Amino acid sequence: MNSIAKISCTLSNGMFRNEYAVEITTSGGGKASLFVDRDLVMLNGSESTGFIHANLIKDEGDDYTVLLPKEVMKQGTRWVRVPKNQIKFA
Amino acid sequence: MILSNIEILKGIQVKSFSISKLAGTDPAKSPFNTSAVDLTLSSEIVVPKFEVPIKLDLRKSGIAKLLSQNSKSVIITEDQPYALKNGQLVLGKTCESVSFPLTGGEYCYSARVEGRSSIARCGVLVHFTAPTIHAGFEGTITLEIINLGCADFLLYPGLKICQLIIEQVKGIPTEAPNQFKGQHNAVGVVASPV
Repeated sequence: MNSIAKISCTLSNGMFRNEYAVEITTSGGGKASLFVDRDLVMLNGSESTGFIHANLIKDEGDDYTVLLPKEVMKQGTRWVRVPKNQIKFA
Repeated sequence: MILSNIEILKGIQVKSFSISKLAGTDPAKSPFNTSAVDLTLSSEIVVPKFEVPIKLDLRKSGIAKLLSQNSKSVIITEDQPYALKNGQLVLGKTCESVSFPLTGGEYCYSARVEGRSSIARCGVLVHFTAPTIHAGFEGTITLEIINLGCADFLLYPGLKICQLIIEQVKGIPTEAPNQFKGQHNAVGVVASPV
């Protein structure tokens, strides 16, 4: 499996002007925080919510392991596990 | 295997990787060195401005937002450079955008960003913790710049701030991190800069 999907996220201004500070919900109710270039973010009606693209790596039942466009601050990797209800297929 | 200036140029020409806005294409002249290519500082730097003491905890949610709320974007110009003081940290980024695509075949490419000796002699570090540009990366390179020298150091756009050393990676990583690049216009509204 290696297809593309969109992950629901909340947005705020990033450190650089061309990026957002992005937060996504991960499995178990956790949050993953990362910086993503603005041109990789799709707004969802406002400047505070949107979607980022991700590669679906593995079906984990209620979750997918996905590959994000940038590294997550905590783990330092691009791989995270995301509940399926946070994913919209592109 | 580290690429020579000739091999870097060949790699760009056959689109094995790209470096946009590169200031010159003669491998015997700047920005090329024998086994690296110099990159320049863009006009935006980010200055941390923590007004109250806080503890940064990467385990907590919202760390990216917290860092953003406690920093200030500054536009620098040739006439109005930023004076980086002793002990001060700022973030910068390169003018040049690089791309190391995962295109298949036996090899792909990655890179390391390194300082330049002339800047190091002034006591300034430009990448003190994150030099690796992974295969699959695309974008400008973020620099963590800190002045350990005794004098203020002026940061201005176009400053040759770092050098990029490009390496051949044997084999192709199993997952392609940037397959979705260029597909962001399919649905939704593309965000515009602030």
